[in-house]
Amino acid sequence: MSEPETLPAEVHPEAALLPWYANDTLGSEERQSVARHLESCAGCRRELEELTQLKHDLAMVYGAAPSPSPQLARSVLQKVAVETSLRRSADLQGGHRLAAVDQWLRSLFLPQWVPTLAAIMLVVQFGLLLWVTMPVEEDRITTRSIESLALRYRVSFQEQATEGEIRALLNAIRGRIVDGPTAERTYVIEVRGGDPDSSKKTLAMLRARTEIVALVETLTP
Amino acid sequence: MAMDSTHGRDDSEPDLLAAVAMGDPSAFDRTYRLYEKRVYQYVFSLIHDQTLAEDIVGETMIAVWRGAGTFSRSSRVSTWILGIARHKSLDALRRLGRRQREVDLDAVADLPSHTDTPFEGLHRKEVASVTQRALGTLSREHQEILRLVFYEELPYGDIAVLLGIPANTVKTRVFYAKQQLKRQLERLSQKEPIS
Ligand SMILES: [Zn+2]
Repeated sequence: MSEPETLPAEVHPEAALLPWYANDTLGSEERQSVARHLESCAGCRRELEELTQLKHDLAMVYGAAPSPSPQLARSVLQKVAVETSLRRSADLQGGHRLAAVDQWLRSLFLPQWVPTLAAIMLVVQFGLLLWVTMPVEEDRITTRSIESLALRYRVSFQEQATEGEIRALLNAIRGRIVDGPTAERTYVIEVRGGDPDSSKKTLAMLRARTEIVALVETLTP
Repeated sequence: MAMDSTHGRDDSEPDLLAAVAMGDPSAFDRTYRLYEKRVYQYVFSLIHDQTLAEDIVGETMIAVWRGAGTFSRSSRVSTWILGIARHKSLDALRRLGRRQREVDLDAVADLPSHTDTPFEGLHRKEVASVTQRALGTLSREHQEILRLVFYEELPYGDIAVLLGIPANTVKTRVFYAKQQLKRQLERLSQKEPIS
């Protein structure tokens, strides 16, 4: 922008503060100094009148501007509701150990790196969940006996998908992330104990959740 | 001195955000409803794309939900939330290669001018229409700063933080933005046919 960094010489320094005198956010010292100046300066009084009128007109314009679609509120509030219930169930069921880890993981979820981190952390959390909840022996046996029936999918998640949503979806299909992320940010999900029929069902479930899953394809073993 | 406040300034907003930080979904619900439209309009004014603007508002509000605990009370809640939205908007613009960054002159030209309304002083609608068209001719920086001062009613210190510019630049930019808007308003009011 090619405008001067300073005000024209003829403009009173108090005039530069008038917009904030009009929106009532000056500190008391500046407010008083502007008020004193206004008593003796007709030019600044006129300027303040203009600014007050302008503020009113702008409020009219901005107030009449369109709102976002109602789906937006629905999807955001729903996402928050899901996270809330996951948080609560983690607190209730997982006991201290899991809740503490969950909280620590959550603290890492700064907005910028949510999607990538979410999936990486999922692997960690899922592993932890197995460790906490599953008897070791049985797990080993199951793994061996149904390994041939494990079905794999290549999946990429929507950027805005939350860790909670991804976790809930994985629970729903009884799947877990076994590989990824690749440079294209795809992951491999494994679902055990599948037959061709349940594979179709899983695929349909993944494809239906377009708000979470951006892309899904079956991997041939 | 009682100035009329656009959004009914509420000193309890930091407490509301503290409740959000504790994971209270009803506090988030209230926060969401207080800010949805304002954040959307601000984001839309920066990126001129309805779908993208809605995505960014969604991301912003989820970031508010998850990050409410990091709000430091050194600024207004609105400054903090708009700051998140602005950051995400600029990221999106960078990804888009800034192609939608400049003022959408076509959209401005399409606005109705209400020429068939009989002139009896300027009606509310006409004032709004002329003001909107005048605003549309300003640079994005000027439009943005006028919104932050006169609609969001932010202190100049908050605007300086939000835009990442010195407080003095905030003051001069508002001065020139207002001057520019006034010129455009005069130009458009003269062009407005009077029957
Ligand atoms: Zn003066």
